Amino acid sequence: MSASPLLDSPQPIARFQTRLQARRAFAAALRPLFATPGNLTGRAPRLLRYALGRLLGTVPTLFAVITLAFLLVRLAPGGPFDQEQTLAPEVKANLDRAYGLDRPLPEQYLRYLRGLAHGDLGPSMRLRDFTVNELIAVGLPVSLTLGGLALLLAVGAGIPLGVLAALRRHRAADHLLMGLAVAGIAIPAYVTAPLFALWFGIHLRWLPVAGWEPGRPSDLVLPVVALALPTLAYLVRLVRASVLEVLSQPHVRTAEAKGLSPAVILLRHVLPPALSPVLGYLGPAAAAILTGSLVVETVFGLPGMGRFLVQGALNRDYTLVMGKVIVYAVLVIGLNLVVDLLQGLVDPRLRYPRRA
Amino acid sequence: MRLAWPARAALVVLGVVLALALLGPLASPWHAEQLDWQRMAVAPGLDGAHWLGTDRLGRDLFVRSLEGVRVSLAIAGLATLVSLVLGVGYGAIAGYAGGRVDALMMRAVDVFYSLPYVFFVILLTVVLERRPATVFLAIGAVGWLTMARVVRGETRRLREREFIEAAVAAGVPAPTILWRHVVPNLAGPVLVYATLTVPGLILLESFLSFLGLGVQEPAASLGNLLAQGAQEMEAAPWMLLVPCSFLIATVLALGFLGEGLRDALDPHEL
Repeated sequence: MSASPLLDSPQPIARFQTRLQARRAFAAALRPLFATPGNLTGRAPRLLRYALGRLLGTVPTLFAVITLAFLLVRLAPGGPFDQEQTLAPEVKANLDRAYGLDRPLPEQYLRYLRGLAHGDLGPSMRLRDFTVNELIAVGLPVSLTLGGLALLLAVGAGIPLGVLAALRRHRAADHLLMGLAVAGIAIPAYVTAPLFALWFGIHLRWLPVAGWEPGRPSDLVLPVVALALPTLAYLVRLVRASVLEVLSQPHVRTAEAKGLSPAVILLRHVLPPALSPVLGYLGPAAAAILTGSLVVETVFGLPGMGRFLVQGALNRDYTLVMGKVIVYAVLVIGLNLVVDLLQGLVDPRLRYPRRA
Repeated sequence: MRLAWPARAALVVLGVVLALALLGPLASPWHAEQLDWQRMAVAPGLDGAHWLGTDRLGRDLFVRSLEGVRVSLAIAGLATLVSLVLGVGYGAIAGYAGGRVDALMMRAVDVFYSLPYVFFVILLTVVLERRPATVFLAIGAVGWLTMARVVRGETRRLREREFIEAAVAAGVPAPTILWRHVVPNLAGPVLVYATLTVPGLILLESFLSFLGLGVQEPAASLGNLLAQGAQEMEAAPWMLLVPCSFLIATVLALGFLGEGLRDALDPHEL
């Protein structure tokens, strides 16, 4: 292979060769991953080491979440048994003993951790006869359905619209989409949700205003759309910026010079690198959607995880609030981890430790 | 510096909203917390005594919404100030120190980032009792993370510049370099980012008030007005629509202004 006459140095070819070598080395590094997963300290495969590192990295975060939730809830003035009429001291002492609140704080913390390790979030302190596990088991499927569908809608509509805006840059469609996106980001779910209920539910009577019956999908349309909109709008902008950046890069020009069709350039050379930041945004997006679902559930009267959370915080229902915050945190942290791993899989640069 | 037209339009809208919020209540004979027993839940109309209607208790919605804008803006502004001080301090120190200190400090920010912070703000507002002061503290305590990242990146860029090197060579102690040479040069990006923070914090404040954890009745904030409006929307949609339009106008104007400032002052994306 000889150097092209247009290039006055053999450097691009040298670079190509080192890339080939790097690719071979990576393939060689991957091989033991499928053969023997052992020997992690020595020449462990990068991908496995990366995954393990990320997995271990969630431990301090989880621990911080649990400790912070415990401390914040306990530092709050008042307790779960303060009511309008004060209880007799003997009754309160009995209640405190029954729930273990008479013990010193460190001991309560260790007990809570032990329960948590067994997957036991304890009894609710205000909703008698319910354990926190039971309350979460009721709410979680509703919230996950709502949040999952909203995330799906945001990604499914946000990516194509963002690509469209980038391809139609500075034309009417682009300006329209960007204007809508700014509005979509600025207007939160707790504004759109009641407005949707007002317009589609009360004025037009197309869809139910509120309520939840299992197996009635029309109940979910308005909440899902209201929940997805801010994330969708953000994704449109993110995808547009990302696609525009990739479009200006030399490898796209090369592909054009080779005479590839626009569709092939878009699908093979533009979208894969452009969607990497989108993958990274999915973690924060999931967090935003979970947060938003708190309000959307309230507005539409859905029996999800958000139910009783605010009330529980005001009533000092220690175990309920801690349990729900921890479950939310685990969901967010877990999703971030999955996204991290996917990014490592897609983008080889991330598998190597960054040099400052 | 020349702003693009959306940003200039946003500046006008923002000016109008601010002028209304400050002067509007003076033009109306009503107080934010005054009850009009004769006219409860009346619809908006120019002929009536209440231009934008009244709520369930007969309080004037024009005055109440403007009061809400004022309270929400004040809380968001103060919270932005809190996040600005924390974020600039933290980011400048991390960026200037570099090396291990920087890695450790930014790792802590990463950990905080991956927390679902709104739930911790909810917990904080419970711990600190529900007063406007605690709301802005809680919100500001969250808002500084992104500011710290922006400032750290900018500081790392500044650190390589000749005038910093000259200061180091002249034997200026590090705190003085930070305060005299680094921080003033951060003004551009910090201003842009602060403008972009305010609408986010307005939304966070009204989110908390909507849930009943922020500003409490009878004080008005956009969030608790929206929450009341959402409950009454079947019978009295204006109770929702009036505070809603004020919120949207304020947040959109601030958003467009921030973007315009960013484009004008700072060519590289933050």
